Amino acid sequence: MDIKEIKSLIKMIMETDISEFELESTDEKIRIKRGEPHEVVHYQAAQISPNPTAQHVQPAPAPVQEMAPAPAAAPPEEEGKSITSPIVGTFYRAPAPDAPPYAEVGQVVEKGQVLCIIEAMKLMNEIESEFRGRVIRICKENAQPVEFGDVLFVVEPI
Amino acid sequence: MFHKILIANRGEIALRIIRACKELGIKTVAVFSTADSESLHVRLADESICIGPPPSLQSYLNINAIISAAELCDAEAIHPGYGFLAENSAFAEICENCGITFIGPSSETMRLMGDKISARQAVIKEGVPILPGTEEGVRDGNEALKIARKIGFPVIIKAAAGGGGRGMKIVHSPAALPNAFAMTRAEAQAGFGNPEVYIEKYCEEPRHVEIQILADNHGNVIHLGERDCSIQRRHQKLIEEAPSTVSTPELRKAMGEAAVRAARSVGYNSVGTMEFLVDKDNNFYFMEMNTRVQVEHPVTEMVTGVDVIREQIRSAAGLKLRYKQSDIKITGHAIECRINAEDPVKFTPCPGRITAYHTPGGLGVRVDSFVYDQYVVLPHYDSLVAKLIVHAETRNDAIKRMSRALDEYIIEGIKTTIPFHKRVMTSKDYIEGNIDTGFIDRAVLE
Repeated sequence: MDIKEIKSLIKMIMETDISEFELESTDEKIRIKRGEPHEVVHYQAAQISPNPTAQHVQPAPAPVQEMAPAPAAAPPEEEGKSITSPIVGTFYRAPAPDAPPYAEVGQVVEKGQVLCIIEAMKLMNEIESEFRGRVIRICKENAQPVEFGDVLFVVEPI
Repeated sequence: MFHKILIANRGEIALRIIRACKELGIKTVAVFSTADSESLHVRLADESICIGPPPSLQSYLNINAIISAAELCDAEAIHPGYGFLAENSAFAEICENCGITFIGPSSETMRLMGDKISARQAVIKEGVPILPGTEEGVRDGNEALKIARKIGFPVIIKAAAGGGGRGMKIVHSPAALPNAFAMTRAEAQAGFGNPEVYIEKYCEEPRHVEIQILADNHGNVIHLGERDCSIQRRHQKLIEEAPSTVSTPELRKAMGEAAVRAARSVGYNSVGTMEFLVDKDNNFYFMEMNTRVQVEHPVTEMVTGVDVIREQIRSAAGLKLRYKQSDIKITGHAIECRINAEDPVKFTPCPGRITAYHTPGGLGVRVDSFVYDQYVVLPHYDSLVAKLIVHAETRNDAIKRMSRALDEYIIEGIKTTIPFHKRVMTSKDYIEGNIDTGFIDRAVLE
């Protein structure tokens, strides 16, 4: 389900007096609840869809992917701002292998809150959120190499 | 031999290196700024990594990003090309510390020969002629005046850390010296972070003749003959050729042997170029050494048949040189025209989209370029768009071939210096070989 469909679903519900709506299929589940200061939409997809712009995938074991032409490579239908990598390195979701990740999908993060670590030349660089928001998507896997401009997170400002 | 090399550069030289690597069976990694994502070197490399935004400081000069990229893709070696980090000894040293082979001389040798003052001192020891001048930096205006009088005017004040034709002033009279001295020191500080300057005799109407050196890690050093780069505008080379019209077998031998002696004495182990000035009487004087591959290396390749980049990579991989000095023969004549995205009269940069592109061809024509139809020439980097090189049996044949090739070359949508090169190829002075570094300034072109 893309954002257009979600928007038209919300519009449809607004035109009725439905207060709570939930739709579930094998791939996804959506719940819309009215009566709160913001319309709360919880959306969860079973699979994070890959970046639709062309990517040049390298054969294994080389883990490097060619960057898409524009720095903000998030799918156009999605709300939220892309948080891109400012450096070349390896993306880690947590401060240590056994520690909990800095951020999960759906989590609200504050301005300045650490979202991830990018390790470059044995130095750990903390990447902070520039604004308060909710994490919509985590675009890289743990220990994945990232290049400058790679989209790491999509965060919806709130 | 290396399994994978990262090319820390862009444009035509990145493409040149990728081509040599492919022929050697080496995997290539291109690094690029966001502005270069459509560049040919990115498309032709086996892998590519974006290292930063358009400004060079944050991308092609970004040592952290480049080393990080090399570690990410497991590159065993980095080829720095020319410009950018090619003569940055700190970068070479970081590569050494990270266990990555820097394809070039050691950081120590680079430091020694990259500093013009220490380079002069090093070559003097090997009996290489230098222009009368100071052996150390000159610190004081009064000292400068004394030295200049002793050398004899005109003199030239040069930044020790300078290069690319910047940080130098010619002084014709004692009255002008104190001012020029102070200004050059200030420019040197601003441009290179080092105010040290030295003074040497200024050679009027000299030829710029340079010797290509090839060396390995086993003490073998040879030269590949000379190139004449006298056609320069504001110290930027525009047209180069090999052999030089002033060269004789004796002069070539003397200059070549001097260059080899000097290179061997500092333990040089990669490709490099010794630049000399040759005066009206065919005396040659050491100027500086460039510890990298140069833009104009193709003319040497055409007349000797040696693949300079391939040999550089082989040396860096620890292999011995395949050639002895006696194997090197100069055959025919080669000319290179640097085609820049600039106004052909005013030389102002003209970036933009190339709307039509067609390269010349035929016997003895070589085009080293990274542009293509609809490519957008960027304002962020230098204006070199293509190198057009020809090779023919004689100099006159080469000039005719270059004229013919320039006529065939179509680059529309941007202004280029092709019209300028065409005028030079038909100019009487050029055809007769009356060229020196004042050629362009004298506006001898019709």
